[in-house]
Amino acid sequence: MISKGSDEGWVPQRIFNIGGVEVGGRIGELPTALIGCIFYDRHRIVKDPKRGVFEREAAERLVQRQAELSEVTGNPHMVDVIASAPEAMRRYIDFVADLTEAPLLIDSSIPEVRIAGLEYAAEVGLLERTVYNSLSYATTEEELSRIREVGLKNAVILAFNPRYLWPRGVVPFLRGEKYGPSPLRRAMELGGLERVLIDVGVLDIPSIGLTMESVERVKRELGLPAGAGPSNAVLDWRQVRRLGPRARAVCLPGSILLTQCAGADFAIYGPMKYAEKVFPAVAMADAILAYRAMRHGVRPRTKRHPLYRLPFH
Amino acid sequence: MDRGEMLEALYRAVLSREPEEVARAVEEAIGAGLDPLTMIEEGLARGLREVGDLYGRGEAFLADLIMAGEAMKEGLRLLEPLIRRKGGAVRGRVLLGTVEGDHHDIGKNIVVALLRANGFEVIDLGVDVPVEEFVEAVRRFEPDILGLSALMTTTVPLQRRVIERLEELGLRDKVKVLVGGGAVTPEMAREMGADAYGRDALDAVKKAIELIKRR
Repeated sequence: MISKGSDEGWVPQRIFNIGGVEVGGRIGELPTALIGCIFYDRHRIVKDPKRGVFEREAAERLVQRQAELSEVTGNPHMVDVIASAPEAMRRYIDFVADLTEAPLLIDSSIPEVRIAGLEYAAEVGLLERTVYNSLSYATTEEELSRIREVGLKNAVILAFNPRYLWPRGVVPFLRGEKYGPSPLRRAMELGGLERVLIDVGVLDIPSIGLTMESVERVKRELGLPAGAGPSNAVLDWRQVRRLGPRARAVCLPGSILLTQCAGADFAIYGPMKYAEKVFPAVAMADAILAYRAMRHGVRPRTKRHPLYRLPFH
Repeated sequence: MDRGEMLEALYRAVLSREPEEVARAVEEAIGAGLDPLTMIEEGLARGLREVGDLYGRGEAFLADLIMAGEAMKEGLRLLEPLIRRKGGAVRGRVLLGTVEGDHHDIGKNIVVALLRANGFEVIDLGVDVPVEEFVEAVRRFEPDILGLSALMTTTVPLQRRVIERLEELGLRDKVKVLVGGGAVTPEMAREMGADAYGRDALDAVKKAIELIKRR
């Protein structure tokens, strides 16, 4: 598994440059990109989710802390900007783009809000570092054609297929061979997207096992950057408290480490306030995996890698 | 294979959680002339109930439940054209969906699968369902129970709005309203005037059964 790029049966691994952040490759080549969420539903710092009023200082601290941890560890970071109204989305984008050079993910459960964010990002010249989050099997042709018109090239593609959850279905689904129209092919053919991050999805804690295998299959057979948001399953896991007061904090990065072992190139780790729990563990695992990969002839492509950044002595 | 073995094969196919297995077993049973309702009740639904029981005991997991539901659906898709509408042993009719603005359907799909496994006829309106669509569907399908799911706090008011619309149009007495979803609490359910609240999927089914008994 570890030297998978050179293993029999593995296709060459694609690496995409998204707003200055390289994502993808074989295990050990690039550090895991960590994506923290801000302004999500019920985020305490949001005062008016329609107009996008929030506590600026608190928001600033969150983004800056993530950026600092990224600097220390070498794990690139991105900001997942979540909004439920167009005006709020525009204000959030303005705020985050001023604060960091990192790529921005435009995220909403409402298509009109995503499109409003995308059009605004284009207007203010942020397209290169904007990532659409996300396109799925349910995305309409209208939404895809709007993306094409704007000219965005970066998107998260949700490979989650409710009709068939088992990992062996994920590649046929993405290829469009089975289970209805492929979200990946539609994104590329109708939306003009080029640099895609495949989010294979997570249901609950046990299903992270499926996530691991799906990540591995996407990488082995399609060679595309893959990942997920496994820590969300930990956040939804109410009973974790019964394992002790610190159980959640430990399980949170733990869920991500497993997907890293499977080859994940990125993780959407949930609310940004968890950055301090996530970055150290993910960076440590990246260093360990990279050192292991070195024994098999795969070297980090950059000095900005936890293997070189973390102080081990 | 005799009749008993075929029913066993249908049951095992749902337990395998593979839609293709179910399709194979159903086609074979259709070829042998088995009664479709018997196939559902003594084969497929028994399998789904078993997965539901395993889930309740913590021996099967969310993905198993969803996939067993999908596998069952594949069987129903093949059998539905063969079933003449004669009522059968249906416990009741449930119309449900996730309210407008909310695209979450995993929880709702589990409820659908469990309701079907427990003998309910389910009409699933899907996700992001506008208020008027719910109201129109209540008028058209005359369900015993209307299920409204909301995972986001921002969409809970839409559950309330559906109930208000039913009142305005004089339909409220014709249907029992069951609400649930991650954003809803028992207090909110009471306050918006719902007839029952489902804490989770298993609880929602329990409440649906109680609502039918009370009718």
